[in-house]
Amino acid sequence: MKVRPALLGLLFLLVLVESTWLPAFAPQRFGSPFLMAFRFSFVVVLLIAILCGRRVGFWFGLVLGFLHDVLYSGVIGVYAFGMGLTAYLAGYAFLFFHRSFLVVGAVLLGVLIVFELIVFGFYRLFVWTAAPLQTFWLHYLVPTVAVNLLFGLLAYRPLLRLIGRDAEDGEGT
Amino acid sequence: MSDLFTSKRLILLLLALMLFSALIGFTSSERKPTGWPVALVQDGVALFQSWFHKPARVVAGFFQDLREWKMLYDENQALKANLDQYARMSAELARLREENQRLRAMLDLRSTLDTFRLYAAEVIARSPDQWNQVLVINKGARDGIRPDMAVITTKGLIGRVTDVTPFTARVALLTDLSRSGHVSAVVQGEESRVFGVIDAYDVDTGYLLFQKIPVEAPVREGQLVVTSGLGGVFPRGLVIGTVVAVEPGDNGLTQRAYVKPAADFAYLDEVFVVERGDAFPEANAPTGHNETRREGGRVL
Repeated sequence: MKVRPALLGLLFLLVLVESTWLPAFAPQRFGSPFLMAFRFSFVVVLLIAILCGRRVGFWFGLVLGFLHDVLYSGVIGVYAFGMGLTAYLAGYAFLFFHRSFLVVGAVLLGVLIVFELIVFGFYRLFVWTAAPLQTFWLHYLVPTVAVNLLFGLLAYRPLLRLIGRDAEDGEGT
Repeated sequence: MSDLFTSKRLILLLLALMLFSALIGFTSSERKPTGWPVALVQDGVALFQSWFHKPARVVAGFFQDLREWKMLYDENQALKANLDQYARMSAELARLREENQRLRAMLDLRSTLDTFRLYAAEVIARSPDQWNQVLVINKGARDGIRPDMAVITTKGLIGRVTDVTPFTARVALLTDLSRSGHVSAVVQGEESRVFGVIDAYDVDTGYLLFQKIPVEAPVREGQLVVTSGLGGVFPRGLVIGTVVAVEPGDNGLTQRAYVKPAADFAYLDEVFVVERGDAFPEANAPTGHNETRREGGRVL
């Protein structure tokens, strides 16, 4: 884990791009009923959790979640909790599996769905969003998870090269 | 995987859940304790976001220009046709405004609801997720922006300022009414004004729900809905949208109208923050839209 500055830079870059460039490409901007949220920085955090272990992933997730909460909702805790927990789970899964491409994809899929459920659950619970459950299931979940999963699969190999295979310290813990 | 939930982990998870629930409850109250660390993070990130947003706007503007270029000829024809009418109408408007002013002066009526001042601001970021419909703009407390001010584009109302840091402000969009709050609105009919409340947004159709309209009130398709200036700090007469459909309300005592927003929520680059007349000193200025300049602000 000597490349952490590069990782932090990449994450910050993605946080900026997510809020400035990417919203212009979401389908809802073109009048489609489908909703998409780009969470590329979170996907990178999940990959870090997978490659460097659950503890490292947990801290990255917690900090990124706090940042997201502070920047966009002002309600602090929802994203911090969701990202921290799911990053930990993503790292935890690889105590049992080998890091093959397929398994990484499957774990990413599961964790992304869990994360969206946590966030939407909190927002529905406290009635901060009026979006009905139907919208979440039919129009939101599939496109959002699909685009983020796709990004995760594309970013997996480059990140593996960036972080390197010296991530064994994450596995034993 | 059976040892995922060992007692230690379970206790930690429950503790974390309790801690975060407390944090969420603590920070979600209306008077949230946003101290300087939060403002520092928000302003710091906003600085980088504004750098990133500039090239994006140039590219987006280029494609928009291309799109508009195709319909330029037709648009020009239509505009020319409108222009004749416009000259007549502006003469009429000037006459009516002058008459209105004279009559109001005679009645000694001083309304501050109609006067407002605009601050031009640029959008520097937009929340990437769907459940927070938030814009970040590049004007903050230093420029005179306060929470609860209305935010408009040249086409119509888009939302409300929720919180302010020294250099930036956050705007909750109308598409997120649980955050931006209900808007007291009025339908501009020919013979009477119909009051109601805009309190929901239909994600699927993209229409705002204009509710609590009296059942006998005459509301028809195509009528213009504007802010009423009652309650809150919104001035009167900001355009919200047009009525596209009317139906009976849930209990039969009221009607409900669907309003197509006038503003385009997809492309938001330049917005104006609206300060109502009674908030600034020269409040008892004569009626009529009194848009004045302040440093940092730009005259529309």
